[in-house]
Amino acid sequence: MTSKPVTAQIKHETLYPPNKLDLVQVENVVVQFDGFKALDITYFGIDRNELRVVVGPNGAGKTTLCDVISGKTRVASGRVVFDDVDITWRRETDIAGLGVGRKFQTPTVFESLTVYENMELALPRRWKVWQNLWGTESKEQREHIHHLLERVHLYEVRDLPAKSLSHGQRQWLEISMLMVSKPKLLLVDEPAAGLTDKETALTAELLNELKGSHTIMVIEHDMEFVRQLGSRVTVLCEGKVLADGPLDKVQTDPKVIEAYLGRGKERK
Amino acid sequence: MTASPGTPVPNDIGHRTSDIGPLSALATTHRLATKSSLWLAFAFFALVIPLSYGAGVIDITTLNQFGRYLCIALVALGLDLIWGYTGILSLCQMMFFTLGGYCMGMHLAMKGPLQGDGIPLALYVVSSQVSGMTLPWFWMPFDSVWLSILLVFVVPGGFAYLYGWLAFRSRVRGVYFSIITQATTVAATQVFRLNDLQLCGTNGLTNFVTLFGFPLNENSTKVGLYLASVAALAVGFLACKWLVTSRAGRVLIAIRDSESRLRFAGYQPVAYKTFAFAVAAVLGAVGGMLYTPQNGIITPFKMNPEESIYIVAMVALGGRGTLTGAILGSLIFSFSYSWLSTKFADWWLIILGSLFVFVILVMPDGLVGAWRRLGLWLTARSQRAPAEPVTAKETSP
Amino acid sequence: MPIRPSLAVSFRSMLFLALFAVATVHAAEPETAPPTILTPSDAALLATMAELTDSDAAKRKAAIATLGQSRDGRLVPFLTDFSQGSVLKVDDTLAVGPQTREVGDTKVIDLLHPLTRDPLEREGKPWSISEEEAKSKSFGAARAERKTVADAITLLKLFDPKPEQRLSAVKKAGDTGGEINVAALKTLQESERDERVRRAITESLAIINLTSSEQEIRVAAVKQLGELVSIRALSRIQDLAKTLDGQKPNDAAMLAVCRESIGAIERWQTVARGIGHVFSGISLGSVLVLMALGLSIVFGLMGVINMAHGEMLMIGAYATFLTQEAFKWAVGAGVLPPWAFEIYFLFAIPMAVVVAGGVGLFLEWAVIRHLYGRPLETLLATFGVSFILIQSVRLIFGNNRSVNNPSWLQGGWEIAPDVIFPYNRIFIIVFCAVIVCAMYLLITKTRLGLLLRATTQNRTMAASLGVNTRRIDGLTFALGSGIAGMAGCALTLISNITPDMGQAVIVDSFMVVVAGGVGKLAGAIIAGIGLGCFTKTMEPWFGAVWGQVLMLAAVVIFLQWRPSGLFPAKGRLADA
Repeated sequence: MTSKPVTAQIKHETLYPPNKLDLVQVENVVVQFDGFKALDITYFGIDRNELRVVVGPNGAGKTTLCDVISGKTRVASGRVVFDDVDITWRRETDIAGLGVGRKFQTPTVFESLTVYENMELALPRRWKVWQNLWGTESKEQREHIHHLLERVHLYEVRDLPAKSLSHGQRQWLEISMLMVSKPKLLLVDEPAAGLTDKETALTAELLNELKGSHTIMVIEHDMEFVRQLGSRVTVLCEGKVLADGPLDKVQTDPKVIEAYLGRGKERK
Repeated sequence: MTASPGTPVPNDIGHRTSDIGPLSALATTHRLATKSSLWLAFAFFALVIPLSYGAGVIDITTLNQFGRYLCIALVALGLDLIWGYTGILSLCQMMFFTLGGYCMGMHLAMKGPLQGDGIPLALYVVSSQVSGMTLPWFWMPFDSVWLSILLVFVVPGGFAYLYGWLAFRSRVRGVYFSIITQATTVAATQVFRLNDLQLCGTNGLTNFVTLFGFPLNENSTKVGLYLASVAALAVGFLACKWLVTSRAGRVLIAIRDSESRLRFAGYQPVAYKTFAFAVAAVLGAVGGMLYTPQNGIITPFKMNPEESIYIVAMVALGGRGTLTGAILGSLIFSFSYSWLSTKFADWWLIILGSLFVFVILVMPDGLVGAWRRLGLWLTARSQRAPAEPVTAKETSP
Repeated sequence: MPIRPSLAVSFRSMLFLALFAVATVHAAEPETAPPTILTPSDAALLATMAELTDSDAAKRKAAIATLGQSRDGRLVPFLTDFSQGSVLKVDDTLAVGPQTREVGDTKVIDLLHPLTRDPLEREGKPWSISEEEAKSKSFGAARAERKTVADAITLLKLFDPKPEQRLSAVKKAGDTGGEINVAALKTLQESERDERVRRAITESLAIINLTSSEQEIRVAAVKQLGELVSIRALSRIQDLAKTLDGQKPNDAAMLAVCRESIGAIERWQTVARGIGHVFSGISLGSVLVLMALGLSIVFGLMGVINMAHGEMLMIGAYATFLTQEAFKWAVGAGVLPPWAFEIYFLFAIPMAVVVAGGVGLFLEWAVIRHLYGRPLETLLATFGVSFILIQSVRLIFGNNRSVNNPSWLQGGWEIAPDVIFPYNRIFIIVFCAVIVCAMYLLITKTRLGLLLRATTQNRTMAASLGVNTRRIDGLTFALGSGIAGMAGCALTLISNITPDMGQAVIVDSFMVVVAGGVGKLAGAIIAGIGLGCFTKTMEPWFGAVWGQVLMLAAVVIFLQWRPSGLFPAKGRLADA
């Protein structure tokens, strides 16, 4: 570990001013695991229709940030606002209902359902029991699903159970499920993990298509992938926001280099 | 974009075969048998059994036995819905059966011989009060048969709904839920055994005479009840089939696969689980309702925890998550129970225990699963082309 | 009320006892059973005993009286036999034959020595006679003599060397009343040094005084009993008050005294009962803690609920039973000295651990490891195993067995009047506490514990570091089963041994795990003791059934605000 107590001197306010117009606002949030501060953020926000990439070394709190927004992890203090609603103490189902969709780090799909059925379950606003007893999806929805599946090369296997899919196929299936559910905010946790370069390129392409019309937060390790997205980058380190800005600017920040990118370059 | 991850996983079991005549024929037979099995089974129970009774091939006792076993099959069907599809192992299904049975039994007792101020005989004999006894208020609604049938749905269903809501809301699940349901049925048995509850204690409800004005000891009534059981099972089966093939059914399977993931997709698993639990309870209660007049007595011992475990054994034997497996397993289990437990009374529990261990270790997807695998194997061996992959919708993992 | 024929006896016995008491005040109380070698005074005693077969009624009566005053505890069974007509005189040899045995079609009676109760021998073989023969040679107390014999037995018991025996005799004497008892009690009072017996004597005398014909004595007795908070006297005082209440004009002063005493006694009774319930709740709870501990270690490690865990308890109990039988046999065959039976329990504990642990190890090897990662299937498979175990044990051992507590676990520690902590329950609590501490040390301080914790927290990681996780699974399962075996061993002290005894405990143990949280030692202890006390204190008010229902409801309601038990795991492990 090369980390030094660099974070202590950073003035978050100047680095990253709070914006009341942001779709997601994470304010003064502290998350603790058995006394260990996994997350300690003064302010983190994502503007509407922005694609934001969050990077950081292992244990920086990236996934924890995702967990806090999606309601999986409870904060020790602070508050989380989504779309002008305080969601700090809401349940994950309610948060999802408000329009936060999420892809997990390890792709999580419903194993014994077919690919198509997985997509069908992800269709938005059909969550109540009685809504699901009768009727089926509309023609438009079916075509939309088919179209998406074609894009990610899953159309051929649409009737196979998801447990027979490869790792890359699962990644795409989960991303497609996220896209079909049309959330206001997409939390995409490591979409390129375990993919080949070509598969990574397709994933980047998909995300780039959504860029501009959707609010997206991508968590990623792979710098090449981040470059392909070409968006604003926030660097987390030891649970705190270390740097923020375009990739080039962030990459030249000596603190970031020391904390993270230096190692990343060496590795490359 | 020339990568090939989109191609299906190759299924290469069928590659090395040449055309094998008998196997091909067997595969076709297997397919036909699978397709027609439901109709055949329905025809057997709805036509063959009553007709052979009419022709004097079987006696009324056998017919009655079949009727009772079909009622038990309803309970198994309900358990399959929540266990096989939703992944919730409930160990109190026979409690709902008995609750349904008590609702019907109280009505039958009210229509039976009365003592004093309209006290059913069954209640009168266990009462400690010598005189001046009045009918407890909760017996009153059971004077009406329609109200009783309504309560068969409302009491167990409502109880299951409330219970499930409380348990699932606090995220009691997996083995925790199983344990709590078992504790519940233990406690319920104890409660129903109390005389103070004015539900006839350990004696149970008996002295039944008429239902809908038909005398219960007449053979025509017994045939009628049998046919009602066949109809109830058929309707129950179709309802379950419809439920599991609807989108809601897929949500149930999704709950079994990954409940927490489903929550992040905006679904409220508690609602679905509670719903499935209540449906299963009602299925069990209807079974109990039809069982009671055919059996002539209903006692708290039907709630004993092992009775519910028998139901689990039935579903495991037949194959989870298949619906047909639940019915098949329950019928096989019921018949072997009546045979083995009389012939080898001392060894019955050991046989049952070994069956549990054997089925779970060797046949995790039960008889129906084995049958399906046989079909796949036959098809794969007899066809040149790769076998059509099995759809996972109905096979449990 | 003393009846006429025994007046003479009582007179003489008083005189005799007064003399004898002074002589033996400082005599050491023999703690062990008297030696079987007959002393010269035994010969005199035997001669007196032989006089019971005399045809002269007066002589018999005198002999009974003499025996009653002899203070020899060995005479109690003899006199009991005499009152039941089982004393025999065969060929001028005095013997007793209390039990009939069937040999083929005939019934025979084994002759025992009247004093030592050893089997008598004739021509090197055990001496037995047929039932018909015994009929003509048996002697028993005539109807008129039975009262005399009973009095003699009471007297003998009153002067028994063992304080426990004296205590029960004193209580019985108080219940029976009568001049002879009053006299004996008063004599004993002078010499008695055991505090509890002294108190019981005062109590018994006061109880007898309640029926006194003199008003002042009665009032004093009621007052004294109130001060003594004598629960034994409660119903008598209540009866007295009722009678007084019914009389007209009633004695207001006396009635007030009665009511005051009743109030005091009843208050104390509530307190004593409450303490008693809490205490038995703690002892039941500590067994539950042991059970929950095993369950929850296994569940934490493998995610497996072992439905056959209760049967491990049952196996431990049967192992204890078998150890006892083995000791019985060994003592009977002369392989071991008689005192060895007193310590069989110490050998039963390791036996229970080994047998139950072995069965657990086998179960893990044969069934559970094949079902790794499928908790519900495991639950069902272990159900099957529990059926098999229950029925196999039933086929082998039959339905109901029990062990005799060693004598050092009989009786109890009376910390306050009528608040008795039975020794066996104290033993269970201490025993469980020791095991829980040992488990704590095992898990936190040993290498096995370290490996166990590592595997529990991250199985893959532990495996990649070279931990043989399969072996850890097996060992842990055996350990959990062994603890359950010890719980079974402890449970034999307070309950019968039946094949389905595990079923009775298992549901409560699961509730403890659910309420206490998985893998939480402190949670299991608090939940176990809490549930034990809850059930035991609810029982008297709501009955066992409603107590159980209330407990279940309490657990379900409790889970509404604490879904993962009292002490939930925090952080990354608490995965939704």
